[in-house]
This record gives sequence, structure tokens and C-alpha cells, in this order.
Amino acid sequence: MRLRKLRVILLMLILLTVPIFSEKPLEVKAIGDLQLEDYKYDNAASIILKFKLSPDDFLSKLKLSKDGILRTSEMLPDGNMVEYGLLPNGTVEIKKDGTTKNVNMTDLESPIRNDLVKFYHIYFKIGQIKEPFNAEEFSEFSNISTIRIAKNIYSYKAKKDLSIINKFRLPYYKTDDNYYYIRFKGLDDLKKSYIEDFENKIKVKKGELTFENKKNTIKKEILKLKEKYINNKKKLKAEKDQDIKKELISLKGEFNEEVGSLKSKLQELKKKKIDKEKKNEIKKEIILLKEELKKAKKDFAITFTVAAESKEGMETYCELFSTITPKVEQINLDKLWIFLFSIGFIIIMLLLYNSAKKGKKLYVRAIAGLSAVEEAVGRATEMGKPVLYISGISYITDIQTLASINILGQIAKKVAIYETPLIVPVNDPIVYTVLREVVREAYVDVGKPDAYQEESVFFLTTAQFAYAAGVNGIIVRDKPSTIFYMGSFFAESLLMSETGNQVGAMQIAGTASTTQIPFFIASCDYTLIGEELFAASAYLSRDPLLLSTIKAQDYGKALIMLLMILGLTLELSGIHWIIYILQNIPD
Amino acid sequence: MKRTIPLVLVFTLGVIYFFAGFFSNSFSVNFLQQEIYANWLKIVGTFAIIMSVTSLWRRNYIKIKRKAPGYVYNYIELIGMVVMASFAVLLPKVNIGAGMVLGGIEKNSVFNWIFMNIQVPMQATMFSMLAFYIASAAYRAFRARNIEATLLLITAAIVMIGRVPLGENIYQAMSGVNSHFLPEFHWAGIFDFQGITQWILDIPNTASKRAIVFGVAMGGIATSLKIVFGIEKSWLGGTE
Repeated sequence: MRLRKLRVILLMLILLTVPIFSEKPLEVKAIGDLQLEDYKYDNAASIILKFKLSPDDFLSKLKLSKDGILRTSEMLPDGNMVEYGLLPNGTVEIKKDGTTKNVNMTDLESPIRNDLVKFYHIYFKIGQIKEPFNAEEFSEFSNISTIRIAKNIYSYKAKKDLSIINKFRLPYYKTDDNYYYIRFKGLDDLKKSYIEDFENKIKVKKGELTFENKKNTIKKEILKLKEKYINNKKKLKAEKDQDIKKELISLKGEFNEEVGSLKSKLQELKKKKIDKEKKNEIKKEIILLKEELKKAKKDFAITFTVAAESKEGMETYCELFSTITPKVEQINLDKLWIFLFSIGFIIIMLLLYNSAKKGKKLYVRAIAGLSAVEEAVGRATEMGKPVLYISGISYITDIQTLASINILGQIAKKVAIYETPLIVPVNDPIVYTVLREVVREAYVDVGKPDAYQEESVFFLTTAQFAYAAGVNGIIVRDKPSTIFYMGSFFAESLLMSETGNQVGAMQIAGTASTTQIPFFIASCDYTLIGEELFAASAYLSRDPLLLSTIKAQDYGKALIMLLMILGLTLELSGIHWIIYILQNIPD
Repeated sequence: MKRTIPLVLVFTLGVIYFFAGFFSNSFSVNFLQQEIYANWLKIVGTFAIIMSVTSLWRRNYIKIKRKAPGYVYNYIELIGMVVMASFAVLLPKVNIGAGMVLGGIEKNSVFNWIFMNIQVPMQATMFSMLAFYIASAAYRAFRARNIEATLLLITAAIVMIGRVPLGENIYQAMSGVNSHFLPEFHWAGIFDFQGITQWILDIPNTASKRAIVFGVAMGGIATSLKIVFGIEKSWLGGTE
């Protein structure tokens, strides 16, 4: 009950924080002959522009003014991959085979340029460039031995309106009906670097002003030293002891040295001395910079240039001025339907959960593969052979791995009750740490903590086929009586399950990887297909509260089926809105 | 407390990330999904690797100590691990001739050479064995034990013929016969194995795949929600 209250409070708190991150809508103004059909900020940092060209025209130029951050490959909404990169304007110093040369970035040979694009994208962030950069440290840049990017070319410090060269490789996606989709990404980094530049400029200007203050401090120090010197002189006169006199004389020398160094500092500063007029000028500049910075923070504008060339060599272009301070709309409206569906699904699940809590019995159809789990564990116990559990080869972030972890929790309990040996070779380090705890707790839960063996769950390897070889070795050597394959599998699925089949093990598999289901069906005794994997843990536990979630799954599917029938009926009746909605839901 | 803290954390982050998926501001895109998600996973992963290597070492050591069957392989595994780690981390990056470097993991390092010349070919060997496993599994699956298996056998045979040049050759030959015998009917169409194969893959196969994908999606959502709302606690180990 306490936990429930805590959850409600947490939910409220999270929802209250939403307005803090709200951002204003954006603005895009287009100027030029080329007509912009549509544009969309698909996330905080990227914009997709849509143009239509005549079949004879082709895109010739893409530009993003001010500054740019590289990107390598991007997936367009159409599912097509584009690769492109941005490099700052200027020259690079390249050391290759013992010779050094300065090359303009535009004139770079394409393999070097491609490497540089990659390298710039991965290792450079504006303002954080480490130079000289030794490319040898990074094996992927085999074309260049050393790259040094000249100091003044990568940011605004030297040139304010630095235009970015955009040598795009496959820069856009073209549809059959001559629509072009172009994506610019990294707009937030662009703004960040721009603002940082302003801040640096202000810092430099402020530094210039502090010369005057420094000068006064030195003058004061000299005066203090002079006072000490006079006191010392007086003491020297009064003192009769020869030793103390010697000491005081040496101090005199030290004072002279100190005063000398301070005076030279003072002279240096005097050289840099700025008069009042200049001081006021700097102050004004600082004020202007601050205003500009404020403006940039609020309304940061950038320009995109898209140009097309016709067969006759005529160029048309479009310049887009975009204010990216607000960046994006707060909520991604493309996902509205997914959001509504998710909320609906959560409500259904919680309602069923509550009714199950009140004691309502829920019917869940029998799943042969799961009903056989008890038999499979029993078989292993009778034969005195181990149970082998394979949790797939995916990461902890994969929902199939999470489902597999839940299933192992249930199977480990059954195994622990019968004290049957359990072998769990794991492919991923994080999954290994979780599985180890799950199995240990399962043994504790059934009151048999002593039966748990630390080495029953172990890490094997992260390499796909090395893992398959390792598992095959275990199957051949230990000849497990029962093998479970639960989780995400790829090409190694059949290698393992066929070996298991050959040693005569009873095999139960479960995966949502559609390409591997046929292999498991061919080689295993039972296969949990797709959703059954996710239902397994609840089914095995027989906990009515968990079973309610399976029921929710079924209701969700029923809803989808209803939508399909409705969509088909409406479409056949000439009403297309449902298809329009479904087609516009992003992947 | 041991269970309450993880449950509260999972609920809080689960709800935040649920909403983050629908928000496109920089906080959710850059901070939550990139900074936190990617970086934290890396940090946790680093510690997990230490535990994993310990586990690997421990298991092999126990097997060697007990002289378990095939314990010689455990020796090989341990030696392999030590050798590779030494080349990668311990040995200095000195030139050993032929453009090779002793230490490190660069392209021209001994570490990389061993990886490319031992590990990669062995992995390729494992992968190539898949062809034989498929043949063995297919033989078992295609035995006509009942109606479903018979249908599977017929479909598989059509798809197999349609995927090799033989299918096209049969169709060409039959089309030739068709032009002389009953040319008014395009009966040779039933020998268009390529077309039939494509139809099988595009229509019934895609339909059944999509049905599975729908189920998987619902199952995935349900599993996530079970964990977020603390209904499913198996991942914590135990039930209570």
C-alpha cells in the first residue's frame, strides 16, 4: 500500500516537471525560387526539408550557414539511409609518408576527406579540439598519419560568418515522384558552439579591461615594498650587531630584486595600457556582445541553402532562415496515436489487474510449450542430468532478454525444488550479473540456498559464434536432458538447437525473432512463438495478477484486429482517413 | 528495502522514459536518451565485464582443478585470455618489424593479427556449418507426417525450385511447349516457380510474420509495463 502511494506521488512529480522542459514552436522562412513543400523538426536537433523538383532537375548544392556538426548516416522517414558530413572551411595540415602539406579541405582526396569527415564527427566537438591530432591512434583512419587542423578555422573566433562546406555523399532521398527529402542534423550543437564562442569573446574583452586593475595592484605592491625597504634602512642604521647587519643588508638586496621585477611587470602593462576612450569602447563592445548573446540564446537563426540545377545549367535555389531557439514542438504529434493507444493499453491492463486482485478468475488458454516445462525439469531430475538455459544473445535493453530473465526466475525455482543441476552460460556481461542474482534469489525463495552453485551461471563470451561453439561444447560434454532457448536469437539458433537435438535433449524454445522461429520449430520439441515468450513467466508462475497482463495483451490484439477490419471496411467504402493516420505513424 | 528501492527506481525511470519517447525536446532526446541511457549503460557494463571475467576465470579454474572431462579446453581458454590481454594491455607498443606493433589493439598490432587470423576464421567456420545444420533440420521438418507437414514440404519444394535457375528453366521450357500446345490458355503459368515463390513470400509469409509481430509488440509492451508497475518481480529474483 505504501509503495502504491509512493508510485502515485512519483507519477505526479514527474508530470509536474513536464512544463519545465516545454519549448516554444519554431519558425521557418523560405526565400528563393525553389519551392519548399514541407519541413519538419523531427527532434530537438534535426530538420527534414521536403522539395519538389522537375524530373530534369537535380540537387546541386546543400549548405548550412554559420557552423556545422558532422554526421555520418541518418535514417530518413522513408527508411532510406543517407550519409553525409560537414566540415569547417579552411585548410588541414597533413603529414603523410614524412612530408607535410597544407591542403584546402575542398581539395582533399576523397579517401582522406572521408576519413576526416568521420574523424571530425567522432572526435571533434567545437571548442574541444585537441591538436595536433595523431590519427595513428585510431586505426580506422588508415589514410592519414597525422592531421592537424589549423587553429583559426574551426570556429567563429577567427571568422564569424564561416560558411560550412557541404560535400554531401548521398545527401538526400528522392522519391519516385521527384520529392526530395533532406535532413540537417546537429542544430543544437551548432547553437551550443555559437553561444560558447560569444561567451569566450566576452571573456577576452573582460580580460583586456582588467589590465588597468592589475596595474594598480602592482603599484600598491611596490609602495608596500618601498615602505619595508625604508623600515629596513632605519633598522640597519640603529643596529650594532654585525651578524644582524649582514642579514639586513641581504634583505635590502632582495627588496631591490622584488621591486625590480614588479617594475618590469608594470612597464609591460604600461605598454598594453589602454586609454579611457578604448576602455569605453571595449565596454560598449562587451555590452553589444552580451546583447547578441542574449538574442542568440533566445532566437538563434541559421540558414539552409538548397540549390537545384537544371539540364541547361540554370541554378535555382532556396534559402531557409530558421530560428531554432525553440527548436521543436513540445510533443511529437506524429506519435499522438501511439501515445493514445499506449495509455489505453495501460488502462486496460490496470483494470484487469485490479479485477484479478479482487479475485476474478481469468481464463488463459493452455500453451503446450509452457505446460511441458514441468515435465522437462522432471525428466532432467529423473535422468540425473542438468538443465541448460540459454537466454539469447542480446543485451539487457532487449525486451526479449527481459522476458527471458523472468522465465529463468520461474524455471530456476522448479529446478531448485528438485535440486537438479542448472547450467546457464551467458553472452552479455550485464545480463550475466542479472541472471546470477535471479537464479540465486530463486534458490533462496524456495528455501534451498545451499543447493545454489555459484558456477552454474557463468559468462561465456560476447562473440556470437564463439558463444554457439561454447554452448555446443557444453551440450556435447554434459549431455543435458533439457535445454531451454528463451530470448533473442540470430544465426546461431540452429547451430545450438540442432546439436541439442542430436544428443537427444528435450528442447523448449521461445523467441520473438521471426527469422529464427522456423529453425526452432524444426529442431525443438516445443516452440513458443512471439508473444508466448512474453506470456511465459506469468503462465509458469500461475499468479492471477500476472495472468491479468496476458489478458491485457489479448485485448490489445483484439483492438488491433478491430482496427484492421474497420480500416479495410472504410477503405473499401472510399473513406481513407484511417489509412492516412496509420501511414503517418512513425516507426 | 532491498526490493522497494529497485521498484521505485524502475517505476520512476520507466514513467520518465515512457514520456520521453513522446517528447521531442532536447532534454528527452539528448539528455535522457543519449547522455543518461548510453553513458550509464557503459558505466554499468564496465563493472559487469570485471565480474564476467572473474566468472570465466573461476569456472575454468574449477574445471581444471577437478580435472573435469575436456579440461584441456579450459587451459586453452585461460591461456588465450591471458595472451590476448597481455598483448592488448601489458606489452609496450614497440615496433617488431614488418610494420607490426607488439602491444595495443591497433590495426597493425599483434593483438589484431591474432584476432583476424584465428578468431575470425574460426567464427566463419562455425557460421559455414550452419548450411549443414539447415539441411539436417530441413530433412526432419519436411517429412510428410501429417497434412501440415505435407503442405510445408510442398511449399518448401516450390520455394526451393523458385530460388534456383532450374525453376526459371522449367518455366521457359514449359512456355515453349505452351506456345505449341493449347496456346489460348496460359497453362505454363503453373510452372512459374519464381512468380509463385514471390507470391508465397509476399502474401502468406508476410501476413503470418506480421501477425507474429503484432503479438510480439503487445507482449513487449505488456512485459515492460509489468516491470515498470512492479507487477512482475521475477527480475529481482523471487516473488515477494
